[in-house]
Amino acid sequence: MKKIVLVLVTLLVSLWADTLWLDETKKKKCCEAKLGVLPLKELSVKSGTLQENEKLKDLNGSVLYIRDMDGKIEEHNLSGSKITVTPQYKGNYHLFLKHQEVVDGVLNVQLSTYRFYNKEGNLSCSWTKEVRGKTSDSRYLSEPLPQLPFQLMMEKTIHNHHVNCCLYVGDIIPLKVYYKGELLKDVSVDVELESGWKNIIKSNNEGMMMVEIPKSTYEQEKGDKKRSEKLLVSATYDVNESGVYDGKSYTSAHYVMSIPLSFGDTPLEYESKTLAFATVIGVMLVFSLGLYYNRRRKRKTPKEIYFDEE
Amino acid sequence: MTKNKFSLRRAVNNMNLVRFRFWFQIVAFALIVYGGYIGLDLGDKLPTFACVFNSEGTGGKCYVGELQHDLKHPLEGFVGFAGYAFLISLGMFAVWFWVLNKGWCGFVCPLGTMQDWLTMAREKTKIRYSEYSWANRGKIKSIKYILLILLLLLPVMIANSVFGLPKLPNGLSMPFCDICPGRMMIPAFTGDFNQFYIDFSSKTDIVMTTIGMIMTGLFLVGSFIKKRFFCYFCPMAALQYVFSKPALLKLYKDGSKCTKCGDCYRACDMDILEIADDVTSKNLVTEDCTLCLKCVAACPEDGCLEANFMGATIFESTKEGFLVRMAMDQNKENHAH
Ligand code: SF4
Ligand code: SF4
Ligand code: SF4
Repeated sequence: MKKIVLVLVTLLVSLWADTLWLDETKKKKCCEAKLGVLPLKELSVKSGTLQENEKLKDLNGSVLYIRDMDGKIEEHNLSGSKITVTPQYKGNYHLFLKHQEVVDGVLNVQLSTYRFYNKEGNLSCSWTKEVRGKTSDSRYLSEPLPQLPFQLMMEKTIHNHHVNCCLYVGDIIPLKVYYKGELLKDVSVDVELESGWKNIIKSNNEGMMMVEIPKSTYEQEKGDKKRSEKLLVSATYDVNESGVYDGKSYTSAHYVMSIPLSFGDTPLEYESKTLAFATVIGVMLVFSLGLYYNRRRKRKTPKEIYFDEE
Repeated sequence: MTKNKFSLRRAVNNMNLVRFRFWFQIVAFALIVYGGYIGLDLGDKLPTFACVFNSEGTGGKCYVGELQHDLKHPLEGFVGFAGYAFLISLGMFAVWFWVLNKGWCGFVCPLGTMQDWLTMAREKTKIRYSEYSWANRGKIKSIKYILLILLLLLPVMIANSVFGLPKLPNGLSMPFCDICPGRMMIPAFTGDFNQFYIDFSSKTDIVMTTIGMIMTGLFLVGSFIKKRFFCYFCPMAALQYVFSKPALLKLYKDGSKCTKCGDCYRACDMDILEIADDVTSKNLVTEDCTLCLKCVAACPEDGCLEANFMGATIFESTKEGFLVRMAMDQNKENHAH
């Protein structure tokens, strides 16, 4: 029995261990950039779980795709340990990391995606965008990136609180998995929270996986408006395909893609909808009754006004 | 050709403005509130309440929301991108506004349209309308400017210590949006009632979100019994008025043709006295005017009031138009009985 458990744990650990994910090194405060100084984002790549991971020291051989809000995709070959992105426009940017190598005849493809909202653009090239003032920015992508053979995609979240920009406990994240542009139906995602909670969510018949962000059971974490925790979702896919990559041939491929996210405690913890509706209805009743009695008290003079004849 | 042109003008001057406005407002409401679902994106500097909290449906975005957001920057930031972006936004707001002038209020604003629908509902129930007392008009008129100053000042005071005062709490970052009935009412039309909440996380949030709910209650009852109840307090109207003079669409009056009969005043939802009383000014777009053009339709004098776009008359008062519309109203009443 012990042996079986040990094998299972090793299997699970090895499954998490090949997950790469993009991590923002330090979030820059808004409005630091001055005119002429390009805004800058710094990211690193981590390997492993949210709890146990290591930063990759050498990104040589990895590729970064940067997709801007207009759908334009830039490709960058990476080196060193740091990823530096200089977004030119204000808006949503989607980053995609691709790292692949052949090990023992298996093509290992590790992918990760990260979205960020750039608050400051480079005015000299983005002023036309500011004039246009687009509102529908691509927070969620509508179709998989052609450059990626395998892709885990997040759709618009389902929630019942008032904030639309961020993720919170209780929100449902719909996910889909694509292989070479085709939707995969029988798949699952691994979900992991920074605090240690893990789960595997299977897809429904339409290939959709619904990940609900679990409520924290730690007393000290409840009701803190500023609390932020990381969440990592990842999907794997093994397929028999052969080919040659970097001079090495392979007969099967192993794909893994992750999406690192962060979430906060639900606004529903510190807001009341019932009281809000009660206030609206209460004000309506008091106002209406006040008017009614006021009208009964004094008869209204007709709207008549005389203008001076010149 | 000349005859054709003449008859088109006559048809326009004789039109049933109530019906035209009703349908125009419905189309504008659909585009502003649901346009996002069909990919419409008019940008984020609209001089009308295209509420930013209607995140998916909105066909554009309200500049008052954007303005508060833009102003919440440390002063150093204004030297850079934030400052330029702010100026560009303000400029674009003015450009959009100049096209229709206050006509954005009379024909496009979803909150204005909702108020007109509530007025229609009241008329159906035969409940009498209310008015603001003349003694309070002056005070009521100044509220929108006070709100405008607060919505400009508070975001700046969150990001900066103004006059050595401590920075304000972040809960006030979009102070007008917190209390704007549009935040609750506009998303509600897409089935999203999530903006109805009272936030208990801080004292500021409790106060602001509660005022928001009170404003919504007042908006619903107020607009039911008082035509355009909210427009008198609206800071968007105050901001618009600052830019009104160079606008392309105008309401002109030829005072020499005015008999001061007061028909225009009686037709005006905003109770604007000047429209009947002022026989010296040409441009009659006053601070509260919504350019609804009801006064033009109600005026019985040939060419006394007119809607003018870049120097060209597009709709003017005529005796014939007045009589045609009177007959329409008579017909409607006869049918109702
Ligand atoms: S809440 Fe009001 S002011 Fe704010 S964005 Fe919505 S409509 Fe505009
Ligand atoms: S004054 Fe009335 S119509 Fe104009 S923006 Fe304000 S609420 Fe809308
Ligand atoms: S003055 Fe005329 S256009 Fe302006 S609000 Fe009154 S009726 Fe409408």
